[in-house]
Amino acid sequence: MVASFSAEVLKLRKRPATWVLGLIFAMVVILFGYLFTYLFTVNAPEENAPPPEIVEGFRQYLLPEGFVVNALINFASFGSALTLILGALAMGSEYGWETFKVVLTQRPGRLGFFLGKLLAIGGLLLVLTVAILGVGALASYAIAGLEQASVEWPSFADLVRGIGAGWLILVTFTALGIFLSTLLRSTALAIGLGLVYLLVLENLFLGLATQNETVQAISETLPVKNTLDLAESFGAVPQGFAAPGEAVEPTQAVLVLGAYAAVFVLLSVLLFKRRDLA
Amino acid sequence: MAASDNSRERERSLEMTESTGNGPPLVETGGLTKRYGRITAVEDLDLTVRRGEVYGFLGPNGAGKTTTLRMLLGLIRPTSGTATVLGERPGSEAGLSRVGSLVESPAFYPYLSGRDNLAVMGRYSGAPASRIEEVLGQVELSGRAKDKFKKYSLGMKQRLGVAAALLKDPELLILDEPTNGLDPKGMADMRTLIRELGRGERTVLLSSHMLGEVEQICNRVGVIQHGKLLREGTVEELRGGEGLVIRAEPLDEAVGVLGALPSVEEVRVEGETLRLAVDPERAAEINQKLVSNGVRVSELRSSGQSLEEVFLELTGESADEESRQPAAKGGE
Ligand SMILES: Nc1ncnc2c1ncn2[C@@H]1O[C@H](COP(=O)(O)OP(=O)(O)O)[C@@H](O)[C@H]1O
Ligand SMILES: [Mg+2]
Repeated sequence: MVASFSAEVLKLRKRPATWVLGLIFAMVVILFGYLFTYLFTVNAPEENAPPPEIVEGFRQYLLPEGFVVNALINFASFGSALTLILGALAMGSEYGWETFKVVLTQRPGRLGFFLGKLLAIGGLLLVLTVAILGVGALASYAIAGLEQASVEWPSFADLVRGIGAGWLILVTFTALGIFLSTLLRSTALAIGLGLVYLLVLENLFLGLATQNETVQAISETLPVKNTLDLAESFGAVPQGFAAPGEAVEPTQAVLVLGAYAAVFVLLSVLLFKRRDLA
Repeated sequence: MAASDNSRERERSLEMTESTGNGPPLVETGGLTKRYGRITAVEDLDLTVRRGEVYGFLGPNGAGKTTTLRMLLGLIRPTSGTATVLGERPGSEAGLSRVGSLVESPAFYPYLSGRDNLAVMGRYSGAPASRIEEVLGQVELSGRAKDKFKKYSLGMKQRLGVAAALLKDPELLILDEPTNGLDPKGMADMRTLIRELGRGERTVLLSSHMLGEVEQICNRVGVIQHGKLLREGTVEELRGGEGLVIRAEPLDEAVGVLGALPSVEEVRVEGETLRLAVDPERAAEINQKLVSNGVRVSELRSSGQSLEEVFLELTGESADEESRQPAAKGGE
């Protein structure tokens, strides 16, 4: 497992796609999390501006005191899709390039290979979580400068919890990507189906949840709703950015996401261990 | 096939019998079978590879060679039957740590350089980093080691595949059609390399659909078709033993002369010809004896069939065109 971990680290570090996804994530946080939100709300010209109480909500969301919740909302909306791609690439590419037959005849057993890979990806996601939170913090600091507001950071405990929550969110969707690509033994199909699920189905449930109790009950067991609600537990989220309806408890959200991640990983391991690599 | 090839072959197989006879086989399968739905890719295969030999796994395309090798490496599970590789279960860490392999086309990470690809494989296998430069040198890829794998030509990819297989300095080297898709020069180079690798202690299991290749490189051969092992033995054994075929007149007199020679173990009359059980090296001596006794000899040849004839007879299929053509050049 250690051998596989160190090999995987080398592969991830030298893979352009890893860096591209990380950079896109950072750009998205800067552009959508801060710049556009700022331009269209707090800094909007008077005639286009939303009502003052809403603007005040956005202000808090954009200032340093709100940077953890802002970042986590972006983890939910963009990070989920990006890490789904990351997970699908990390596993699916090995099917596409047929590198399994070389790697698995080197020495590590399938389990060791897989666990080492997971560990390396988990490490990468932690780095990514901290980096994106860092980018968000910088952007919020810049907003504070523009607004000439006083800089108040979230408490250290909130920051640590935020890192944990962000990491869990990324792990869950990466695990979904890994599972789909293992199941389908492909990258493209896994990414395609994964995104359709994430962007269409999940949003459908979110949108219909307020209309129907059954739909709402289902929605509360799905990853996206739990992700959004977990993010929302870190501070006030402006309307339209949070999940509609009542939020689930953060503890429950953590458990649901953790369960999803564990099941995806477990199924992937079982599939990978049992099937032929032809 | 040139005569020199045959005699060299013979020397090699003699060497082999001395150095390999003892010890348990490195690879042994019993009743190994793999089915894909209705297709039986490999059926009831009993294979034995002995220590130190270069074993040729010969069969036409689709015969089940790759499937067999994948089973030996633990990449796919047999439907039934057993296999041991270096005394271990296929795919176990203990076994794999002493086996190097190249199965079908070489597969690597396209975004990594040749050297980085080997570094990754080295991390997986635990081979010392110093091996990377050694094996790059061995396959003559040192100069291009910094280039990305996706920029490599097919020949370079194939050589990187061999380099990766050598990384562990393995006791057993499994190569699945390593000359596939190469140009004649690439093939010749690859064969020279394999022959070098097979010298000494290392055991090589080489699959091929090319007869000439197997004949040039291997000591022992297993012929497979439609998933079944048709024959296994040294190249000599497959050729049907040693002896001479003689066409001479008068026949009775020839039989009398030959029967009196102590070096001739058996004389059989087959129609117009005589078939002798004798060391073919004695052909000149026997010819002289016959002629000096007033027998006219019109033909005298080694009775062993060419491997090609054997292959044809066994598989009922002609070896591919390419199987013969590069063989003559490929030797040197
Ligand atoms: N994954 C698979 N699914 C179905 N059939 C397969 C599979 N792999 C191999 N086969 C079949 O098994 C037979 C043997 O194939 P293979 O071992 O690749 O032959 P060779 O390597 O000797 O050319 C072929 O008929 C091939 O079509
Ligand atoms: Mg094959």
